[in-house]
Amino acid sequence: MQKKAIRLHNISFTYVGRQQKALEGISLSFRGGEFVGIIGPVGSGKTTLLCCCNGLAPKEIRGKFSGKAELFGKDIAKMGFPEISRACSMVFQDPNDQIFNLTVEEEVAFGLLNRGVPREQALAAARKAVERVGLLERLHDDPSDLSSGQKQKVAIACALASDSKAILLDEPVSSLDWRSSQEVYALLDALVHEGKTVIATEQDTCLLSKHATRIIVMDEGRVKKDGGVEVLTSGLIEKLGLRPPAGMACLNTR
Amino acid sequence: MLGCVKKKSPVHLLDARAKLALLAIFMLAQIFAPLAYAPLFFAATLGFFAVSRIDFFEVVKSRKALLLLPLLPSLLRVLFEKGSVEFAGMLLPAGIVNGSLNFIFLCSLVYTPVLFALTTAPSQISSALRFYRMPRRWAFIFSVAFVSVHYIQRKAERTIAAQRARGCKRNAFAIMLPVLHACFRRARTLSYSMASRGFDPDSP
Repeated sequence: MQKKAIRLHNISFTYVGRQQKALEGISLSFRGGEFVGIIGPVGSGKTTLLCCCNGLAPKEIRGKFSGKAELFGKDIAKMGFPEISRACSMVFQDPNDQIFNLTVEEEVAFGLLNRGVPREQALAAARKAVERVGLLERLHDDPSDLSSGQKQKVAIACALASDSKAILLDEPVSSLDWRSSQEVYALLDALVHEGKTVIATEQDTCLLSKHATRIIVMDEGRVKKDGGVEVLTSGLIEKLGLRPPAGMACLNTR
Repeated sequence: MLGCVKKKSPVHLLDARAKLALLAIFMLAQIFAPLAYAPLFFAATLGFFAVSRIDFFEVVKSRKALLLLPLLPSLLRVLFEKGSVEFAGMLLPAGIVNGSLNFIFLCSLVYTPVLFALTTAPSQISSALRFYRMPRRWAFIFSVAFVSVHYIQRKAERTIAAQRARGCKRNAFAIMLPVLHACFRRARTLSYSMASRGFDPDSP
């Protein structure tokens, strides 16, 4: 039995100034080597759930939080961000909002430098991570000159460089074309094979049906279903206004 | 963006601490020197751009909003005699000379820090500021602010284009509000992203 990477126990969260709970009574656990796809309508609490997994909520995102979140057996509430970032990385939906350095290399090394890793070592790790996402020739380029897909790969390289055991991704391919999306998901597959925990929120059920090993369906801050990829064809997806995987939808409507 | 970071000029390679000290000395010298010396300082600024292999005019073109900073005070100065606060109400030869010198002086004052930001990585700016005893939190804020200028510029251009497409021509609010909103959103997401990458502003 593999050790639990992330464990959430009865998590509830309400944003400051709002009445409605963004998350209500969420209890989940994620193991190493799992590729978890979180799906649900807009505003269902997917991103908030990710933010609870790495302590952004309530440490940075203010709100009323209850319950307990653990990262590799440690209470996240008692961990600082430098420690959390060693165990868990996050890739945000829009890479334009998170990239701020003048070169790809500096951007990817940023997390390691924060941990006190010597500069030379951090740059070497950044180089390796950038090579892995296939952008080595852009290592010294300005990230703002890159395409959306390349920027998202830089954001993923930031997570790779930190060599954390869990990676959280918030709709990582929402602004990418089909080919780039496939490349990003192939990379995530490789990470899962290395034993890392990958948790991604996603609207594209086709991608999830091909790559995820576990699907969590969320609505109104609650987990509606938690199971294998068969969840995507259970009818719940359509009920929530989402599109089921294309091939399966054709079969259902015939 | 200008893609200037690809260049390996002497200005790019100069230590950030030395660059920051030279920038401070250069700017103070400009401020305290008589206005008549402004062309000399401006020529030096153009020289710095040339050495760093960055096209000065390309920088001005890609950051048009920055040009307003030297332009507006200089236009006002054209209408006043040197040393007088009395509005002349007409173009005066002395005012034109003063306004032109003032414009050159302010251009140099605005674009030298821009060159610094274009040739120095934020982490190096931050390290340099910390070397001069600035608290880590403030050093980081300054370094990110330096490199965020181009983001704001870009956002403003996109917003203007979007508003024009909707038939809105000259409405400052229609441009300012979306730009401000985008800036606040970026600041928020950036802070989350940095926290998730282990950044602690209060760490030693």
